[in-house]
Amino acid sequence: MNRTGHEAPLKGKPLGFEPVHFLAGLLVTAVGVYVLVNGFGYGIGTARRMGAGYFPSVLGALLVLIGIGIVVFDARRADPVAIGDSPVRSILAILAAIATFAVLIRPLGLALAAFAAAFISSFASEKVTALGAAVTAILVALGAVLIFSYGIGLQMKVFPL
Amino acid sequence: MSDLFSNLYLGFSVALSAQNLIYCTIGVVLGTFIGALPGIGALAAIAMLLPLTFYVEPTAALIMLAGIYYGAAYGGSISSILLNLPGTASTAVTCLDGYPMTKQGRGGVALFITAIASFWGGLVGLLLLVTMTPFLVSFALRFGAAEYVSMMVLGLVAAALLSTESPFKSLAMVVLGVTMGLIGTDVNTGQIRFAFGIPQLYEGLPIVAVALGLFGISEMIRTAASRTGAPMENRKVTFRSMIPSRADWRRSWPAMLRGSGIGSFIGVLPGAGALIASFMAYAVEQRVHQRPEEFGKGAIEGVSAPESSNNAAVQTAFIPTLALGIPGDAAPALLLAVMMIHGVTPGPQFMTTHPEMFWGLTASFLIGNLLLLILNIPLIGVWVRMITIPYQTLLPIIVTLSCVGVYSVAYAPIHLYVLMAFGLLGFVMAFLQFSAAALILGIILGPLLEENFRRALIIARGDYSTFVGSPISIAFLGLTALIIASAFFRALRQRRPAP
Repeated sequence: MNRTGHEAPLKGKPLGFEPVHFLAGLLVTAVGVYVLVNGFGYGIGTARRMGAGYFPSVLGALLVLIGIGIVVFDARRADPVAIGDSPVRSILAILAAIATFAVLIRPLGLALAAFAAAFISSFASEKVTALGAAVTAILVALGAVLIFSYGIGLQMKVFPL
Repeated sequence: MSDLFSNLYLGFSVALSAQNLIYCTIGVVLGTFIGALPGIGALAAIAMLLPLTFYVEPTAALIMLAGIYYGAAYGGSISSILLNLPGTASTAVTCLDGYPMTKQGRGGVALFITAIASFWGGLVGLLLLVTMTPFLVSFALRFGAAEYVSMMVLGLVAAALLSTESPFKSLAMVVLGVTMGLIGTDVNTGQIRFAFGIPQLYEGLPIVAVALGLFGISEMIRTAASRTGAPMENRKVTFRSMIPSRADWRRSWPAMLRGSGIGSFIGVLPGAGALIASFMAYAVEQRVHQRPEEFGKGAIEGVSAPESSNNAAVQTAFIPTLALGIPGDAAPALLLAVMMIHGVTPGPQFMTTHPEMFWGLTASFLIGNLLLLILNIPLIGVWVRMITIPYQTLLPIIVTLSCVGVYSVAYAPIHLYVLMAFGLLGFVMAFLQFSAAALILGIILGPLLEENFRRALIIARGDYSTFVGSPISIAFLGLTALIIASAFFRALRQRRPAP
């Protein structure tokens, strides 16, 4: 199931293989090598007395094989992977929101961190106004404090004291 | 038989306690609401509420989370029918005939029939659950470590391969998930594995952050990017317009019967869930119909069959989950994680060591399905108004709730960075067409798999032939090979040569 937005096909002449699948296979193989190497590092032991690295090594080897399989089989598929609308805006907005929350929650408490997260993540949508985002953020922060601090009684700092 | 009755009595006495009733209601209502919201599924809801379950008794937590799961299977149909937007993946096929019915002014009837069909499907699935699970359990209690390994391998492979276009990619996700499940301290040797030098990872990946990232945040990123924010039309649904005609009933009930049968069967298979069940029921219904050309134009069978099927599948997904500890779907996998967090080990012994939990949960399914039926018919108007919440308001709410929820687990900001990482990973995976559900299944089952693998080999003194040493194990591995082979043949046939 392809859910990357609009079905705009890759522009350019058909390459004979689909680079996205190729990349996917390469990534899997690379991860497999990493796991395999580390697995050896942890000590394999024997089948009778498995070291910490035994199972990871098996898994790593499997990943390498599967990765090669992806490259060999899937990369030859001709169904192009659609690259939809640019997700950069929403990625930045949402991830920045979470990071801001992570940074602010300890020093500044729930209310401000929640406000910041809600405000920043609002900008993931294109149709947002600063005022609208601020209003939403205030409401969200209020709701969060009510539900989590007073309602459920979580022990976290609410305001910077 | 009297055994069954005493168990059911136990179950209902647990499920009907005030606390569990409240949690069941909350779960079902929340599930319907979130299922109705296009863009957010039961998985994200369950992941978001996972942190709350730490403060609640495990049975109540499971009842609520399960309620979300099957509530969403119903709720999704609301936006499918009224807005032509699937609320959940499993209700996508309901759009095909549900939305035309709305355009014909028969939206109310479609919603009513959906409620009945969903209830019926849930009942049939539940009946199967109650009868089959004890039988399966008694069979599975004879398993040794080697059989467990074969069974888990079968479950993981089936989950990966039964509904995929690329067997390699899904297998990669399962294996990767199992590897990720190993992150942290190895119980046997004390060796710290794959923790990148981050102390907070020594206990393993925080499952809440992972689940929310993969299914919540990545979903948000994807939907925000593609949603143009088109205003949703407000559809009014009156009570009177909801009553179906006698012809409607006559046509619907055979569809419901067929749908629930198909769904019950498909739901049991690990990896095949409500989505496939609903599509198959629709396809079968179209094929057996006298006038198949009516499908797509508002045929009521096109609504009652898939809705009955997906609710049945959602119930029977609990059969392997509760009887064997093998999740039938990604959402039951999260429920297994909840069990493990509360110190309850899933598996065949679960039913005998925690009967009040098992039967209480099962009884709550009946209560929950009843609640769905009773509550949703008058609440239709409320849902209709609620799903018109603009997405730009919804998104910050969900992101912030996710942050607070993840943080509340251990008050560790590092979990939030895990949330970010898996949110991005989930998005990239979707782009590369990797299955996130397969990944999380691997993560949750990974440690169990390794433990049993190790134990099997210790018992067999390093002899690998122990895995083909018993008929049960051979059967499991044989089935696994069969599934792998058929998946590859399917993929090979579909592969179109490059131009």
